[in-house]
Amino acid sequence: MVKNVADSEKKEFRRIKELEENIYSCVAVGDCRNALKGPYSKPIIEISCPNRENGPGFESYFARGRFSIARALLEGKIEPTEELAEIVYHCTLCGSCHEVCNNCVNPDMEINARTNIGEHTDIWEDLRADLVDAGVAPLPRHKEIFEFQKKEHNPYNGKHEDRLNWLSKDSKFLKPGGEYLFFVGCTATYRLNSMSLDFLSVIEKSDVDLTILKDEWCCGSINFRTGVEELGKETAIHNFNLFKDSGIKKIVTNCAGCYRTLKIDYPKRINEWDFEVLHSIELINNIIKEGRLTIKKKLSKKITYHDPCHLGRHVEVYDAPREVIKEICPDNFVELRRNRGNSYCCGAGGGVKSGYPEFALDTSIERIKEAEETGAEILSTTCPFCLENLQEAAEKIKSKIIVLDLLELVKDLI
Amino acid sequence: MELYDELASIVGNMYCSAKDGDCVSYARGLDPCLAEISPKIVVRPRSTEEVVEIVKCAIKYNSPILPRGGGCGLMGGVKPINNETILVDMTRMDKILNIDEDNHVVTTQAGISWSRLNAVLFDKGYYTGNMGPGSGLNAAIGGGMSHHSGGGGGCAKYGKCTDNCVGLEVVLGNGDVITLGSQASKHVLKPFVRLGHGSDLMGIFLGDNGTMGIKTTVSLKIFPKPTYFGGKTFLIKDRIYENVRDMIQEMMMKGWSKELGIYDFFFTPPPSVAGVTMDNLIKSWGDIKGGVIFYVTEAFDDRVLEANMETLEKIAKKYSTRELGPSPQQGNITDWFYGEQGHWQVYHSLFSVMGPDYFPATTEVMCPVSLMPDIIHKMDNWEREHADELLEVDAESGVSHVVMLNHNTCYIGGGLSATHDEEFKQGVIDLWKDQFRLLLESGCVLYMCGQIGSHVIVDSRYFSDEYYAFYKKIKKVCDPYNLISPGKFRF
Repeated sequence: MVKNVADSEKKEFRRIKELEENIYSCVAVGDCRNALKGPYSKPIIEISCPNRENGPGFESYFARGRFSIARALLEGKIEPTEELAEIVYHCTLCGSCHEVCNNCVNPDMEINARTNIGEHTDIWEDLRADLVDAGVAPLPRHKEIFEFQKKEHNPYNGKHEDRLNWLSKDSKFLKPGGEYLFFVGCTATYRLNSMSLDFLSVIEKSDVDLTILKDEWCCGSINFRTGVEELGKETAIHNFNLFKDSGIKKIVTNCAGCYRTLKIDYPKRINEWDFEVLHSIELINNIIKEGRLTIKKKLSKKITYHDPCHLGRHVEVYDAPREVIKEICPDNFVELRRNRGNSYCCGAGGGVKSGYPEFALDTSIERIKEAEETGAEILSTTCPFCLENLQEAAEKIKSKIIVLDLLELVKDLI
Repeated sequence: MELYDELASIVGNMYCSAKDGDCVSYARGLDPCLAEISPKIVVRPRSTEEVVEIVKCAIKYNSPILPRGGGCGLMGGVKPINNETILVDMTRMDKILNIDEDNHVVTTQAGISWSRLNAVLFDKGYYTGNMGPGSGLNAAIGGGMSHHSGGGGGCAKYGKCTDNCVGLEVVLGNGDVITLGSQASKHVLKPFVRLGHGSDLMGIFLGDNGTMGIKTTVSLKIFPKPTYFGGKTFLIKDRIYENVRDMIQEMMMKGWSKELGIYDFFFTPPPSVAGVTMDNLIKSWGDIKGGVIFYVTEAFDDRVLEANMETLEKIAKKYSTRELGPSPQQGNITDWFYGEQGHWQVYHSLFSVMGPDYFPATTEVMCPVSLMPDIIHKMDNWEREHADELLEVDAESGVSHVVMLNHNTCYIGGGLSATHDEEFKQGVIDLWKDQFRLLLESGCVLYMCGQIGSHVIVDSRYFSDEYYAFYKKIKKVCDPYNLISPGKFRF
């Protein structure tokens, strides 16, 4: 039973305590469940949290309810339990709740609860970290993954020494001292290394000098997302030292999750962080613009694009992939109904793919159906995590749409 | 079987929960100070049949039931009053059952939100006209029918949420299901009109604050969405309340919505404007002082729009000091609210104006337009007279906005803004009730009552004994075991 305030002792919850004012700023109108956006002249888009369509759908699964949970913990009305953690971790950290919060964005106006709340996903991550401290989180499946990570420095339990098996031993990309350091990431190493090879094929057609470091560890995204702060920090420091020793100042990655982690999470935790971080699609876009890469053929198929949450809402990289698509397919691009800041999550993030695979897949199926509505033959994206989940969903519902990484298309057209 | 098991067998294990984390998230409403009590069990039914079974189960175990839609109640209507409550979260009942484009009626399950319903209708060129309550498009249609809500857009043209209801299906407190409106007759195939077949029985359930039964299906009028819209914003510095009234009355004399296509008309009184400008929340307003009105008008033809805009501007200029605009950068907020964002939720954006951890304890009322200046003056006086008490409980008071309805009535969105500070809660509640009494004694009508407003209505004894007795008898007929939303109206 929920306890009365007087009956309980307050728990520590140091992180969410520091965010108490932000948490108490939620005005509870619940736009995080449903919101309409878009101008009067166009059909209004309905955007929402993946939890609305899939899963139990109780209030606790939405931002408004999660704020209530944080308040109840701070007020000692409920206890941290594994059961509570199951609810808190049923979230992809997609950031849609932040995007729609109180539904107002305008450079001339700031009447906005969102301003008072701050970044929603930061609060969810801190809440998770407090639950980890309280000994009730992360989820059992996450704990298994972290055991792999401690041993092999990746969440897939692949051998660390096999990390670069997909690359020939005498590859020029293993030579030190390039202009860019290519941070490959674990998914594009152990699961979808064709993505990495595609990227390198594209780079080979340009004059970009790229270096891959043999002793790269997992970026730690899964740790930061699931509140396992110490392991995340440990991996971040390892990678930071590795980068520093390489002498290279620019890092490029083709994983949206690694990108967000290197771009946002590392600088937050490492004071000396001084690297420029690019997503591969930003680099490709730049070198196309600079004339360092030429698109020789054009795509004739109709194509749409899924914004990965970690690239889009989290870091606001919306234009680069679209500019690349415009180069390869000037006349056949169609936007998904929910796009850019209003994009619908693929369902894989925030530890959900490992913690709640069914929820992840159901969410992804919804996105595939949305892509089918556009009439596109190709659904492109720029994140291995999204790619894998969307491909699985397309296969599950026997969709005819082809899901692929944008780099693969670029590779075939240069 | 125990209560939980029986409920789980009705809705399925996934949609029945007694977990602390799930239950505590239903303890909160939008107000800062009414008690936050977790329900015992939360269920999410998907059909009328499941709601019937839940009610029968509640009767068997003598457990109170609280139906909840979007959870946007401002006056405690969505908060359980005891921890034995079965909370019925209606949001899973969100299917659109029929869109009758021939007769402009949509029939939907009551748990659908205004946003989801309108997203579908917009694609077909329609909308609900009134876009729901000011507290947000996340609010459910059923909740809108339980309160005569407005303020979420379109009230000046389409009136309150309940004005457009032409059909209801309700599960009564004994488990019976009744259909109201034209389709109460088995020979009416599709709902089209509210009145007929004798007395207006639907009226018992509209604005009932969820006390007379659980609304499961709603039929609403829908309207073709006009192609064009325009809007203006004006500053008024002299005889502010009176000038706004006179402006509205002259617009009414010219035909208001029917002739001029007025969709919304909002007035923000000077203290609220000062609150906005002090914190530079609307940068384009600079440091203006005075009251601000804006109106939005719609038309299917751009020439009609232009003519109406001209007429409205002429009237507005007569009673105002100057125009803020025409661009958003010059202070015209209509293009932002309606054009750029399209969410048309003016009021709920204002919830955050006071800053972090200040929430509305609203005393929203309706009054005839002619009375509006007098009411706002009284609210200003009340604020002055209670300045010390407000300070003591860290609260502020005032009228944040006035919203015009479609005929002769306006909503006055007033009340307190207060924190969640435990030690001030009772003080805020006392002041909140005092302001309700002032408004009722001044000739206003409550439209949304929730817990606190309904208590004031009963405790004040402003109505005749016969009225209260009759109301109780109606409740007894609809909910013989007094299990649905107990406590409201002191039932």
